Amino acid sequence: MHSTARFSRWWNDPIKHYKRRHYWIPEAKKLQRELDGKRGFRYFTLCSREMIDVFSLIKEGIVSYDTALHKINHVKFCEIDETIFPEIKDLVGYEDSGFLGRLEDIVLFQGDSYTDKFTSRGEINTEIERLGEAIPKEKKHRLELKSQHLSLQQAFPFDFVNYDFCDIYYPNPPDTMRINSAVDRMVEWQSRLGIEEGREFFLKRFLLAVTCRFDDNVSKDAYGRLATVVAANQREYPQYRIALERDPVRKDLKKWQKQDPFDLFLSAWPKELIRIMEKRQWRMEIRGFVFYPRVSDLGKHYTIVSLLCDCIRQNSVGTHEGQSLWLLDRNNRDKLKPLSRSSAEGRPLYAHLQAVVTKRNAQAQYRSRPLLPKI
Amino acid sequence: MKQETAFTPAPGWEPIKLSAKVFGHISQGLYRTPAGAIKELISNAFDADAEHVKIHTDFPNFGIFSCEDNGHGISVDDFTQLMNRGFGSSMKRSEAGELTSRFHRPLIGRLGIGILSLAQICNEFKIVSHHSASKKAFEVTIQFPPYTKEELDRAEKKKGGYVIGGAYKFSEIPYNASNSGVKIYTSALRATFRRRMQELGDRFAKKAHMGKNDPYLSFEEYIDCVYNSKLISKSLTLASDYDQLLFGLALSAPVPYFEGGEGDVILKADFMQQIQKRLKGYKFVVEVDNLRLARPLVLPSNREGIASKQCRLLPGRDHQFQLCDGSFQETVTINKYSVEVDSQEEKYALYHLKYYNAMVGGRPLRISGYMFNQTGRLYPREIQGVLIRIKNIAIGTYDNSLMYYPHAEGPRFSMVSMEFFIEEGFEDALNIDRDSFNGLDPHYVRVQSFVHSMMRTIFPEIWTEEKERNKRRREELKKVSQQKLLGAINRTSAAAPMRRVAVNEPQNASESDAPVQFRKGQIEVTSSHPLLGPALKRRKSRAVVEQIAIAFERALRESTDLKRRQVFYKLLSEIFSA
Repeated sequence: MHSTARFSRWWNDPIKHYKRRHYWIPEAKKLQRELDGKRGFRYFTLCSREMIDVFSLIKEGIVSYDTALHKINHVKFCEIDETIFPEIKDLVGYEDSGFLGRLEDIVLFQGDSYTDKFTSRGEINTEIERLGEAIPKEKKHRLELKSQHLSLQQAFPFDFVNYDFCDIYYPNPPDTMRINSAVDRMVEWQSRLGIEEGREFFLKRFLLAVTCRFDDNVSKDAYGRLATVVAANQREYPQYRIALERDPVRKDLKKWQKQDPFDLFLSAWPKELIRIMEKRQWRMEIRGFVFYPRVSDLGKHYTIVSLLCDCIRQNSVGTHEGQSLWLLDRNNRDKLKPLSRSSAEGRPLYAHLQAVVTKRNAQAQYRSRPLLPKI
Repeated sequence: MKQETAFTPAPGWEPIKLSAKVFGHISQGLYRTPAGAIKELISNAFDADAEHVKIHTDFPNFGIFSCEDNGHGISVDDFTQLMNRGFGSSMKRSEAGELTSRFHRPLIGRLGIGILSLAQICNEFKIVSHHSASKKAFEVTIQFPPYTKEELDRAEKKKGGYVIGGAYKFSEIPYNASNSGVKIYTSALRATFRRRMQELGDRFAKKAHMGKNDPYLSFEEYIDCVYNSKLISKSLTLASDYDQLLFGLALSAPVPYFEGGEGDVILKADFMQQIQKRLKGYKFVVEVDNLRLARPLVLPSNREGIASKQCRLLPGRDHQFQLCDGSFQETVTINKYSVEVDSQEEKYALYHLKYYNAMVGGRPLRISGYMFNQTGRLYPREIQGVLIRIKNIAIGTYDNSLMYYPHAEGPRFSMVSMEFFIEEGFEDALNIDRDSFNGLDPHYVRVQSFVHSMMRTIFPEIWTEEKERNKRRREELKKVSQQKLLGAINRTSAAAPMRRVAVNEPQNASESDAPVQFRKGQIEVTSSHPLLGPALKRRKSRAVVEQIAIAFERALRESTDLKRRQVFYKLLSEIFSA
């Protein structure tokens, strides 16, 4: 049984796996221990068909795997490719585990006077049926998108949200803040009441990993946004302003953007998330801030940036000056370098990745899905 | 031939040309159920030597549907031909004995209509095919817009003509050998289909049986819910459309019989084991929502909870009957296996059916199969009656009229479950929907005659066994209620306990004698007593009358009216309590 798409180019990238193994997994393990066996670890991902992140968490005993039924518990995913979607569903093993579509479209669905009339999936479908086969395509699409939006909302909250979309965080206008809005909405949903096997719970803590891409296509509007963030920090935090003024490049925003735009991005972008957390009453602590270079199929250079945030429920949140200063410190960012398979650090990493692939392939074999090649 | 346009494709789309007849069938809804439509895709995959078919319904939202197989795919040429007057136009069928190249499966045969079956549940879908023989692949999106009645009427008038019944957008894609097969995807499911599937609620078998709304964890769990839910096990019509879809697909597909749970008594017979082995040998797996389908039969299936493991198959012996088909008569021999049930006096039966005649309506007819009967109704109702399979595919569902059996047999109809496997013949008996038969086809009529003739000999046996079973049950119930009454009587007095009730018929009982005597440890009822005797004449109420008489006579032994009333009404409430 084979799906139509080939495996993604970076599925076996050791740098990516290094990030999982040394940043995500330790933090996820800590969080899972806090659950104390009272409920399963809930994970939301944009994994592709390789599902290395999911199987990494399974291998480490963080995400629960039912060996008798060959099913992965408490994992939900979103996938845009309809030909890959059934394959991931097969590997997870639960029919209600996936959402097909672009995550931002589903999360950010905005109602209007027409769609607001329907508050449940049943009502939406009744309306679609009422309008019959001649329903205008756009209307049907809006109604179905709302239905998906409601379903996804009900799936929250999650202990670990992995927003690994690997694209530019600030898309070109007019939707420059679209990704940010999607993060905001998902963090809002993290405050929902969760129900698992009849037991209710609220999250006190969760992990959020956001992985995006930086290259020379970042738009003017995006830099404008970053400048706004920096300016706001300068107004709010005196120490922050002093730190910038002491740096010959950073003290001039235009110069900073021209000479070191990547540094500007890394210094300012995470503040978007801090602001979201503050608004939604979470205290955010950065547990991992990594980046690594890549080259696209067309030979274009870009950088992947990944932020791992530990979000702790708090009723009132204090100043973020400390975090803003922390972000300015280049030593707090980890540039991940390629690892050789035979090096002291590379050997265990490759072995771990192979073990994850083996686990994944065992599931794929059982489900008659394509196997990943050996690492 | 002239074309009549019912729909104008948008720029970049090619028209799908259909015969007017096929156009009408598709538009009006060719299949009675979604399972009938979807099973066509399974049949196509079987014929294409697929090892797996994976279907996802997107339970519980039913917004996305996919069907993927790893067969040899559709060639570009075949597809192009289908789109251009190929659907249903040739009515081509496979030749008898034709087998697939890889797994030697008997070809189910194509009418060139299989893919279009999807039009019943959606109005647009995408097909991706990687064809192993030609090493070519393509991707196509097919649209079927809604048709108005006017368009249908116009198309019907053009007898022999063709209509533009839809549109498709085709592109060749790079061939990938590891992707061999046909994959179908749609998120344009018809609203009525979605609504019906989404209506789960209390009719969802898992909710009814286990109180849970989440997806089935395994096919075994599904079978357990369907067969053991108090409500749903009566009939699948009480279950959700989703449960019915699963059952319909599992029943119709060429997959092995279910072997999990309590097992299936019919699989204890050698001939059924051979059939099971053959089905497993096709190496064909169908999964719906990660549930691996198997033929959903659990026999015996009854309210008494008797399971296969309690059943023992005795050696078979010949059973003959006279087959009458109009003026045609023939002696037919089948094998009967009595089925004994441990620690019960129940007797079931399994018959191995075989028939061959070289000339029925000018063509040979060869069938095999089995008939299982139990005492007590079969549950769910959907496994009662006759199911016919052609090339391993079930045609329609069980016919619980036993192909319009012409005699009234009351509840015995519900105690019989049989399957026929058509090995040769029935080519023209199948209607275009592949879900029903032409009732005048000679082969159909012959099988019908087979069933009727056979059941004319078997129903009397079932009737006898049922009478004896009912008698046993009545006696059992009588024993239980007697014990209950004895217990109640013993609680009313400190005297030595009564242990049994004996019914006597002395010749000269008089009215002055008590019809009920309380002797040492025994209550004796004189059934010929002139006062009690007439009340005992009706067999149906005899047991209750006996008990009321005992209660009355027991109450009479009390010293005061109040005590007599107290004892009598107390015993009466015991007699009539659940």
